[in-house]
Amino acid sequence: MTPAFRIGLVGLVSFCLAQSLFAQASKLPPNRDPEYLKKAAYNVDKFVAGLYKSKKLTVPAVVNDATFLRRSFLVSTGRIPTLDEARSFLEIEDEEKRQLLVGYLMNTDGYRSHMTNYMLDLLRVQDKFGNRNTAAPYVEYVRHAVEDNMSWDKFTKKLISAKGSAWEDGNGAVGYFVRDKGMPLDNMSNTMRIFLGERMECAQCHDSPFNKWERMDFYKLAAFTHGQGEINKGPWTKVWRDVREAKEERSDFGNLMRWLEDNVHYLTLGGGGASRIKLPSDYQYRDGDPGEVIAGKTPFGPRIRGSDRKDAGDGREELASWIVDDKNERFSILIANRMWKRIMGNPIFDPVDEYVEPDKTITPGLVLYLSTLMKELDYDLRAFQQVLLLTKTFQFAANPQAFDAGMPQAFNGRQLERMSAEQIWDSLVTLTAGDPDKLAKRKYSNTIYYKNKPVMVGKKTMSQLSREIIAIKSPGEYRTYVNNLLKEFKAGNKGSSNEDMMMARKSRPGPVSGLARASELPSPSPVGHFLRDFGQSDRELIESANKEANMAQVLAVMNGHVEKMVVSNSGAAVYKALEDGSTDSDKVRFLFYAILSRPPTEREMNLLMRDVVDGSRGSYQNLVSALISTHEFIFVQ
Amino acid sequence: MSNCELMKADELTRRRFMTNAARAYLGVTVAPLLGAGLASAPLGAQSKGSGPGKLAEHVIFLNMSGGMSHLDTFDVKKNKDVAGPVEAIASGAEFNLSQYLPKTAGVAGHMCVINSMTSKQGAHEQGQYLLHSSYSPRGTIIHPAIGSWVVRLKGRKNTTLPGFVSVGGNPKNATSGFFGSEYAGVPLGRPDQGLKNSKRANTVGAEDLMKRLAVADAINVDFHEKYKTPNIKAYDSLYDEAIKLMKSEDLKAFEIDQEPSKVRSAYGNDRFGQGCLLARRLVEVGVRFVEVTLGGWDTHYDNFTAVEARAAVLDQGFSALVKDLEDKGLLESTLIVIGTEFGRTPNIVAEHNNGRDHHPSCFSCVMAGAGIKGGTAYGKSDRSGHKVDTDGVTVQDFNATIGYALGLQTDKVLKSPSGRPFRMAGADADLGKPITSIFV
Repeated sequence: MTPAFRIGLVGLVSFCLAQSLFAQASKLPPNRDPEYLKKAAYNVDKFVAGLYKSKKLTVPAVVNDATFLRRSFLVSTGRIPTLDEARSFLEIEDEEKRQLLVGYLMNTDGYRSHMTNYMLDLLRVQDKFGNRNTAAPYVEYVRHAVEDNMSWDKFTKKLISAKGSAWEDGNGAVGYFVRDKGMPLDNMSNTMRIFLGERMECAQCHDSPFNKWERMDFYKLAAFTHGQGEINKGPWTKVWRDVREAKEERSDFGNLMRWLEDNVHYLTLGGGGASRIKLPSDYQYRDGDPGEVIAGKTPFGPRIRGSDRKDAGDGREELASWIVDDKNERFSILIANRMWKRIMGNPIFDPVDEYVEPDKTITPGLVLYLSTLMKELDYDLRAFQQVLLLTKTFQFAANPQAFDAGMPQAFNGRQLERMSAEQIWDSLVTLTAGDPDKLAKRKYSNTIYYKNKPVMVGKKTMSQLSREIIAIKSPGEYRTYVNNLLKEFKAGNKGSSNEDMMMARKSRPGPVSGLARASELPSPSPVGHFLRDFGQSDRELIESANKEANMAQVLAVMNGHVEKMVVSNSGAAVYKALEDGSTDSDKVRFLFYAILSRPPTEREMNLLMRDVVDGSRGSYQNLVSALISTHEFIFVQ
Repeated sequence: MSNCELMKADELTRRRFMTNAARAYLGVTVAPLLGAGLASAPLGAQSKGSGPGKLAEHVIFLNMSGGMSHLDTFDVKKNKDVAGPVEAIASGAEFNLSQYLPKTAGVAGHMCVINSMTSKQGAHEQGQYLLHSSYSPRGTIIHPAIGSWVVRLKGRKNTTLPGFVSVGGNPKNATSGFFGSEYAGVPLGRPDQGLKNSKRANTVGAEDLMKRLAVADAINVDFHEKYKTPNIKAYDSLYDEAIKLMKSEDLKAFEIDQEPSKVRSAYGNDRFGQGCLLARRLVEVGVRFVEVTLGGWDTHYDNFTAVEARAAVLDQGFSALVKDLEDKGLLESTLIVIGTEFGRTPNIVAEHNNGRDHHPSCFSCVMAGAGIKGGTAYGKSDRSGHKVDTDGVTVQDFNATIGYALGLQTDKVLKSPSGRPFRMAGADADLGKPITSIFV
């Protein structure tokens, strides 16, 4: 057993004790009060128990320790436990060990990593805006928000209302709109789907035959975000026109101009939202004319209106406040349903992002309670998920039957599901390197990199550069500035201190290229990567990852990554099991712990000892490969 | 592991081991695992005389993902407000082509351009879903992709290779839905990497590989006993398929580097072009349905620069494919399709650097090769390409036409495990009808 993990568990006990004592004394806010979280979990279970009773359903059994261990690790940290973690948990005898494990896991970097993948999928965050413009400050913003456990309402508000340059400290949120430059209407459809669970994409073009939304409703909403543009791009445009006329696009000056467009101008967002918009030229209904200017109006919840006479300038701010308004119960219910799906496997209403009024769900009481809980926890998603992990409901055994697709599934027992691409990858990384959270992380830097080299280190940052560029008023001034900048860039780092240079070299920004958790790799991984073969989202559409089986996966397991990265790699962490065990049967047992998070059954042990394991390295390699190839490895029970 | 020892293990394990040993040593499956057999017998071939005179054997589906602007490719308008800077070039056919497609003009004699495509799905996800399945997405079922329908209804031609391969696209578009994974498209990320990992790693011997699979199966026993869900069965049948594939003589079809460099460069030095070349190689060895995706058509911003670049890639890959298939004598048995989820607006959005937005009510698609009357156009759009003028073709009609070319019964009902009826040509309410008049 690793001392670290045991200390972790034991340390947590005292931490929790201290916290609850402290809580009694000074009243912690609910999201930080362990007692509150425990009580909330109990309340959730009461609703679920009531539901089972009223529907006369059989209550599923509670899973054993081994299944609980593996499920908790995969759900909260996105990977399987290491040999030491599995042994520590399974061999320790403590009535509260499940609760302790949950507390421990939710405070590890693994939670951050796994939750980051979720957010990148939900918000379709890619490393690049368009084909060539870096999205680094936006990626960093989203990652940082998860790491800081920023509350969901604050995060939402910031994404929708931010303006200025993405390079300004803490302002990467402008990437939410920059990502969808040129398609603000699609962005609006996505916003409604992500945050409020309303599907309005049909109403972009016509009154929706499937739901209540009319094209007019959509445009009235889109009015609030209308009028976005890059900040003060005029001088650049004029200078660039001269460059093109002189055919100097490929000169040093021309290259730098293009670089400034891609890396500075593109990442700025002006226009706080006009709150009015022109109806499109193909507007086809009687309630408006093509080209008519209409004022913004919210379609439900607290009523907000714009004016059709003048630009408001703060429409996005207004829209953001409306979305997260406590009176707009869709907001809290939708995120609660999303988190419920993340932890329990199935959402309460399905699809997870099509809002259903509480009364029309299978369990109105629970839905309303979860909505209240989300607000009481101050939209702290980690605390909310912790509550769900602490419930008995989370511990219910998976349903062994295939579901009838037409039946509500939320309370039918967990559905057996394949791990996500990221879970499989991160688990293989764990088998290769041990605790994967100790591996390299993606880095972010405000240093200017021109042609892949750091320049003006210690003298100018991207934020300063960005600020100076967008303050320029005339083309003449712009040209002078760029000429000077070119000189400075050419001078490289003359005058930069050694210390600054060391820092710049050490912190070269970007994703990790070697062995690391999925969250630290490029977003998305390149086509043909193991992660993509197993269904990682391309991050073009909301949550578009998939878990379907295909031939490429089976081949990757048999002949590809699994063989190369783990099985034939004699340094792989999984083989530590062979050092830890003194007898062959111990070694087999430890390999089971390391790969399937459980001891072998008697039947398995007998079979393996008799027919498979002969003490040779090769026989253990065969066993490792076989265990990873099992269904039990890739399916979450 | 000695067989003798294993005989002593419980009966189920032993039986599984035997199946494995057989599949690994003999290259055949003795008994289908969990009932997941490979259907290579055609299920829905049409009765004689109801397809075109000469039936297609294969389909190469070129998926223009993102919404290809019809106005800047296959349906160029005279009105400058609509066409922007784009001009039509002569193709010698009933349709015009944009200046961005000069090489395509050279193969126009094999093509039928449909300028009256129409759809109600104006968002990418739903549009691509409809294009690939003839259905709108629903929360309760995953519909099989058209490639899966083709393999299911027509059966496989080459039984050692997958019947459906998808190059460079979203794996979701290659789903077999409720059909089971043996009908799913094999997704290939990059054409130059071929079918990765299809050879045994040099770190493991043939016998050890077999042992590993046998041990995995033995350990799977309890799990199988406990859970009987289709997503688990999917992996089982895939292992069988994978072994068969690894032994296939035709595996080298996936290696495009076996082609002379002249041929490779004719297709264009990009993933799409090389994907088209791979498609030809796969069709040559009897793969039924190959999809190759070219993304980047979502030209809201700076439409003309982006379309010019995309079209150059399409132009090179598509024209080379048609010519190469013709040279190899495969064009008359291969239907080539250019599909997209929707077109782009006639309106040019100046503030988005001359962008064009989504436009599902009227757009263009293409069919070429097998049985198609070359040099023809089907259907017309109105003067601005805004609406269909004559002979509207729904996405379901389009898919039914693909089925018709293959001689499939596209209205044949196949049921999901829960008993719901589905058809290749879509749901009752909008069941697609094949456009028979575009065939010779």
